[in-house]
Amino acid sequence: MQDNSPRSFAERPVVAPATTQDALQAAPHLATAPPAGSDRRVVDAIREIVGPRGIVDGASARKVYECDGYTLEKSVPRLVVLPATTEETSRVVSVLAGAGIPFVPRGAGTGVSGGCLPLQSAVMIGTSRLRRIRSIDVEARTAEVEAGVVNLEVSRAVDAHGLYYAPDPSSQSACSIGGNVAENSGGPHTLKYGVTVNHVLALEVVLPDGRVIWLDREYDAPGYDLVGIFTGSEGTLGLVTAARVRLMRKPESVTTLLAVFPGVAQASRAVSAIIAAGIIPAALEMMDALVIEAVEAAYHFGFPAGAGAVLLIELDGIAAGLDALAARVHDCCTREGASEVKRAAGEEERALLWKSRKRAFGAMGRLAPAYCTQDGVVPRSRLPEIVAKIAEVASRYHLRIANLMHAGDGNIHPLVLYDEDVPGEVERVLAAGNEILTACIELGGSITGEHGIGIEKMALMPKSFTAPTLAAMEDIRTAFNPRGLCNPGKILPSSRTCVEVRRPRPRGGG
Amino acid sequence: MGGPGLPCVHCGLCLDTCPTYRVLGTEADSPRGRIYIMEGIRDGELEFDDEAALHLSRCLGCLACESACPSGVSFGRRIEEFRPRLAERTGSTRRWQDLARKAYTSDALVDAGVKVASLLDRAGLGGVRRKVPGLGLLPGSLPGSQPSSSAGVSPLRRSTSHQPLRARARVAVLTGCVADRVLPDINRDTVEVLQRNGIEVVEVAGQQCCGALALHAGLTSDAVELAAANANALAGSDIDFVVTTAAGCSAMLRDYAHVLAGTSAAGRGEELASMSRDICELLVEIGFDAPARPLEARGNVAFHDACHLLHAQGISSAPRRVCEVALGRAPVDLGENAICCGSAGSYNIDHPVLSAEIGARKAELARERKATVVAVANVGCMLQIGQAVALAGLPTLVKHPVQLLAEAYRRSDTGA
Repeated sequence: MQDNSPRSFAERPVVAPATTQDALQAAPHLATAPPAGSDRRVVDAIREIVGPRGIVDGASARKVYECDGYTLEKSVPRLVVLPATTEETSRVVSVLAGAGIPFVPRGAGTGVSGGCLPLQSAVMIGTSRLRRIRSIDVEARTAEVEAGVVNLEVSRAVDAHGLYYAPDPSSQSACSIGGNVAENSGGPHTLKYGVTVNHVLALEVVLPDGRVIWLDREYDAPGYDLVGIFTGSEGTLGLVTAARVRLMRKPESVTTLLAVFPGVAQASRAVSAIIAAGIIPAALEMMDALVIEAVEAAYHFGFPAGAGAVLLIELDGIAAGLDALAARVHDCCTREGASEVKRAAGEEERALLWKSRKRAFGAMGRLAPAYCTQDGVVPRSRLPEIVAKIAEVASRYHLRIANLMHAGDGNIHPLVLYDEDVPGEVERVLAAGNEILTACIELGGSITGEHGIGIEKMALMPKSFTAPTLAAMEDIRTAFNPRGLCNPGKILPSSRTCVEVRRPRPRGGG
Repeated sequence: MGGPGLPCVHCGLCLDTCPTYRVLGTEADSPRGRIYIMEGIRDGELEFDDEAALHLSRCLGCLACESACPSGVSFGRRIEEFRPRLAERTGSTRRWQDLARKAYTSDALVDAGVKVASLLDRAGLGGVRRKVPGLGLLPGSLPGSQPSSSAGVSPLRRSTSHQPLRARARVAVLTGCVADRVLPDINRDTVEVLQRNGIEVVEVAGQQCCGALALHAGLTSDAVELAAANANALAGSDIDFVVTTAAGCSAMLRDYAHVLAGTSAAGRGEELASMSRDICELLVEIGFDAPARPLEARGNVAFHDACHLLHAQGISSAPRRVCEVALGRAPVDLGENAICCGSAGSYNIDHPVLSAEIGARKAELARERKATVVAVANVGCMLQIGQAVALAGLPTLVKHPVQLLAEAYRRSDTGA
């Protein structure tokens, strides 16, 4: 066992490497009870570091952290710590590492794979108070921002300079940069501009033993691309406290088209047709009839009634030539059976179109009490096949499944609607999701495009990777996180042990 | 996930629109967290203890979360159901209840507060006074505030100078329980602006406070009583519109059908709800004259949205339009316009520290914008932002858009 006494920032613990399993067994008990007994010293030490506003230990205040946007599995953290600076974060992690207590980083809690679910009585370290934009370099087109800065806030801060931060997840008005790095978040504009990893130049990281390091690859730094390894590691290698991100110049001109199709099959074919014509839209999104119904209920955009699917196609670049490009896209859609193609008249109409798309996830609440967002990838050309498969799965499991897709890059988001109060429905949702993702693998795709593995998809990892590949991943984690204290029980199935996950509570009435 | 209205799907899109989450960073002080706590209490998974009550009571009621929610969750309705139980739990809320009751039953208390504030200010104790919960909000006589010279007599009963001979419409002005005592100039200017635009302003006997203060203090039966009195007095009289200058009042009037549901005044409540208008909304709806000589404000006039207009009623362009006509140019936005200033009724008394922190951000933005005037169409926001800029030592004035318009009309009259 480790020495349980807290250590100061100055005397960082030298950690003896141990196996993940050792670390897991060292982690104590108690998921819901407030920290007590020998924990008290740790809590006091942490309180000393972060002050009263940085510590959340009451029962109701902790309970709200029991899940993120993935609500099928829940677990209450034994303590939530909200450090306000990198130094505080580092000292808190040192104390926890010294006491052998596992911890889980959490951004805004908008994740949808349970990546920040606190397993093994972990302490949660939230980044919501790390909210400074440290610097903006207009000339170099970079910004150094802390982990808790909200994605959209970065673009707002540099808007006056004609710049923006490109990765735009649907939750960009709430999700934080640290969470984006952890999940390697994408968004509708991934097709042309790439995902988070393509826009992160350097990371400030607190390692699981409390040391603070900078990973920098801005000028083709020699050595390993550790920024690449950290981005998308879902908080299992360390805790990101700040990032230097790339800023993009806003395109000179943007135009958005809406194409209406009788069904998803025709819309899928149009997607391939557009790409085959050599056009790379900034975004190429698909919504099916159920999604249209939900966003129409929320925003009254005026989608034609009875539309089977719509494509939202955004083209950007220099103004000259954009009209011609739009005409070619129009042709592609019409040839594949679009009943109507219209172009957003002005900025206001364009903004409304995107609003309906970006808020489509949340708008699902208008159709069902709950839904589970799936995230899978197939080669673009095989979209029609996966769409047919999803329909078949839905009918076999007696579930309603809505389809939202970053169709341009084959990233599908089946939204499985359900009601916790219906006996057996949660189990059917999980089984249906599993089948869809397995089909993605079989079609040559992947089990996640941008939501991460989290806790949700660990069981599918052995279907996606060979044992030696998984072992190599495990080795990388062990190199950074030798005792498995940082976000235990995630991504790699081997480490999923002694889980005290609670299924959703049965609900009566209401 | 049941409860009134549509279910929360836990997406988190509301988080960053919540002023308390932005300041504290704690999920329990976010809309999503509060819904979770309320559901936990309802399902017997959480105790309704002091801690839960604290997080719920920190809600400003600004409803920015409803604007952000893609699922259409009625957060306001949910927290409203908890208000009476919250009031039982927390001592500060009980103190506020007493104060709220006095505010809408007795003009004398508010008048006395205003007088004390002025005395302290004149004695050079304005800086100290500004930090006292409740008292700090009152305009007093510091720079950045309007002298309340006319306290004592409701301006509504004095202003007949511009009454039109042939009216385009007949309206009653809901004077408001606090606004009329604290910043009477707004009501006076409102009457003047309406009359100058050919609208007859009539007095309707029996009108009361709208009941919003009572409702938010958890005094539901008082609120219903006041609403019924207003519905019977106003909906039954020969007028076209009921005009308010306080966003919270018009939002409340619009909600009368809900407040009075199941009572004998329900029908009248619905009628009154359909007659009620915010002053700026009405001016834009039926048209108003541009002043011959718009105001020439040196520096920036920065516009801020009032939550109970923007989020509760979806009104955003009308008050901007009134400012634009008064100024002859569009005002700039103060910035973070969808985020509450921290005023929120009793908030300054229940949570003085948090309220001041939220308000301080508005002063920061006023400084960044180099705003000489902050225009905001609600008395509560005016007092809160007024206090924030005064504490920050800024010379910024805080005005209601209708005041700017009245000033522009008067300027055009004199040709000065």
